[in-house]
Amino acid sequence: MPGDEVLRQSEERYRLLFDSNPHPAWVYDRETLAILDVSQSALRNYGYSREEFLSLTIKDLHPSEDIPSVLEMVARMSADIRGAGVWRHRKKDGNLIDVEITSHPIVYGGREARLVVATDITQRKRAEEELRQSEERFRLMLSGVKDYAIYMLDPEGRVVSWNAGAERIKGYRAEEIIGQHFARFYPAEDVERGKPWYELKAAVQQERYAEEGWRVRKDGSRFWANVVITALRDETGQLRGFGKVTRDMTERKQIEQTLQASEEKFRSLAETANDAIVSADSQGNIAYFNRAAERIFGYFSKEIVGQPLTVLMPERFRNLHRQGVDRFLRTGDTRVIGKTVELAGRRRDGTEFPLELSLSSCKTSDGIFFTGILSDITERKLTEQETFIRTAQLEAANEELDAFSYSVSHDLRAPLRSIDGFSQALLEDGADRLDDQGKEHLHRIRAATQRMGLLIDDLLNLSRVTRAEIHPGKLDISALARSIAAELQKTQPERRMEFRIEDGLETTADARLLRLVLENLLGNAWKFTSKHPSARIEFGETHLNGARAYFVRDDGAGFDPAYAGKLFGAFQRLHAVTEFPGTGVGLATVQRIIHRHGGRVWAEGAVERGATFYFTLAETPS
Amino acid sequence: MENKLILLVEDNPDDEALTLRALKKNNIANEVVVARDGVEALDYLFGTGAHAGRDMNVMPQVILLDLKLPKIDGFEVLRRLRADERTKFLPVVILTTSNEEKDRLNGYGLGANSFVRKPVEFGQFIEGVRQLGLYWLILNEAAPR
Repeated sequence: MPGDEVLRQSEERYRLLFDSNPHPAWVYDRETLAILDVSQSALRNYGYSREEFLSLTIKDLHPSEDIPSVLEMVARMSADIRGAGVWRHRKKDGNLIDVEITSHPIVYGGREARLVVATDITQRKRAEEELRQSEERFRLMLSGVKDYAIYMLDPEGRVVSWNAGAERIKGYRAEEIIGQHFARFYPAEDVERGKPWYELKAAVQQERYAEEGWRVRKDGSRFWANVVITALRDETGQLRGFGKVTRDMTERKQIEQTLQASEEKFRSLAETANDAIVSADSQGNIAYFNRAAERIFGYFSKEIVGQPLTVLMPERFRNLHRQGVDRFLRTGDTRVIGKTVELAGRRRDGTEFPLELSLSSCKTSDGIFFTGILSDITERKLTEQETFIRTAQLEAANEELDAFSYSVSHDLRAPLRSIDGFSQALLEDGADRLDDQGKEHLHRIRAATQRMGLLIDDLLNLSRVTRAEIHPGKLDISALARSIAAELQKTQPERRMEFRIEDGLETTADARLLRLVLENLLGNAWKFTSKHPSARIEFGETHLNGARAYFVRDDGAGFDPAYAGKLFGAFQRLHAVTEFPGTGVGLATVQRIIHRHGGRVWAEGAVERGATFYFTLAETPS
Repeated sequence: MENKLILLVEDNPDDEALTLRALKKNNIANEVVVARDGVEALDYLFGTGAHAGRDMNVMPQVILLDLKLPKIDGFEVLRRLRADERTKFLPVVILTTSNEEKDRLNGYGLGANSFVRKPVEFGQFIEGVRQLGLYWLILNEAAPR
């Protein structure tokens, strides 16, 4: 093969390689930097025609600001060294592309030249930049998360990254924890049991391990944590470490515990309740049956739960109940919900009993539930009946008492009038036939008769006070006392008596009955001071143990305090009738009236030292 | 005091005797007609029964009326004579043992002119009768007929 032929063939092979190379390629003169040859791919990629490209120097392929460093690079490059680098090229349309350049020294047409192959890496560079930015964003996001501790461990369990949440939850700053083993986050007993290492092993085997448990903060305090450990591997499957996400669940744990405690409390309450507590679902099937319900109905909870509520009702109520439940579910009509109704229940043995039911409904995630609280009111019904009968009997007895009082006032007094009247007639008409002793006997008969008349009157008053209706009203009690004092003075104008009556005392009471009280108390004071040449009677208000009390005080005969308890009993007297007249009913009447006003009455005194009677009144007399 | 008669309606003979004695003690000499139950009182006032044909121009100056009476009680007597033109203005003094409030209320409600409770003590009774006689037989002017 002639030399020319060899050369031509070599030339063609070069041309083929040069033009078929998918990467743009060209040859430039090291000295003039002029393009000496250019590949098809270069023309296609840079947008020039062959003539145009061949008229350029390599400076024209770079943005102007890069040209100084291009020239420097060319100058530095030794003639025989293969060069490489990343540059920016400008295409004919002005767009810039990133290219990776490799250049080799060659001799071209006798000139020292370089063959350049340019790989367009614009896409790759952009992808790399995006990845870098995305990783940066992700890193920023993780580090900013505060509610979760997110950190990474190396395959041995040492901390390699730390976010703000980790710092907040665990209390360590990044610089003091990175490089430390994560076992320090576990309670001592867990570390002893090898829990941290077990968890890593589990994560390696299952790729992911999740649990809830106690963890320890830097300050030693514990918190309830929700933990997820994920094994991190590279593309070859090699374990590179672990990602850990930890959440502080202490608060939720506490809520759960509170909820559980409250539920237990309800349960124990419901179980110890005296009333039957029965819950049913919206289908009317029993869902809960407490111990009292077991006792009252005679069913065990475990046999009755799931059965329809109607089992607990007498036949005749069952339809009504179904209609009621249907109506409630359909329309929300709460005819009986929240109210207390009286119904009848049916025990296991088929017997019926009266019950009181209060019903409530609640909506839960499992649907609507009805809860009824039922009490067996058999006894109450009986009591009601008894009360009814007793009230009727009492009313009858009261009527009888009325009739009796009427009869006493009429029929018992009439004979007394006869005895007194005819004794007087005898004294007048038979005076000449009676000796002094006979006259004396008749006088005694008359005195006894009149005394019995007084007794009957007082008794009737006492019984009237007991039965009378009370009509409370505003009352000027000072004025009342003054008017009674004036009446007393009128009965014996000759007596030297000093009345001291406090002004402006007002209260709420039945005026008529309170007049009786003051008449008795002031009348007693008047009576028991009668043996003294001059005396003083006081009426006023005082405060005893924070309660308002009124008092009537005299400086008269007083009484032996040993008998103070007897003062208020009917017919109880501490003085002989011959000494001080009276029937012994007055203070009993006073006490009745005061009691009926919701008050209290008591006395203090000593023989010949006077007496003080106190009484209180309730704010609203019954 | 001629013709000014008193009608005493009283079933208790003791009370009748004592009342008559009290009148006498007070020198009240007016004629006293005694009716011993409600029927008798009404017969006298309306000229019926045992009193049929009596001179109806003669009417009592005052009626002393007890409440508890056999057959027809005092309230019923009062009610009937207040309902009759001939007797509706006759002064009626209820003279009774009771001082029950409801009796007083009932008595005045039916048109009684006075309500006097007979005291146990005879001296007081004599004084009461004296005042009644003074008032109803001397001071009081009857309604024109």
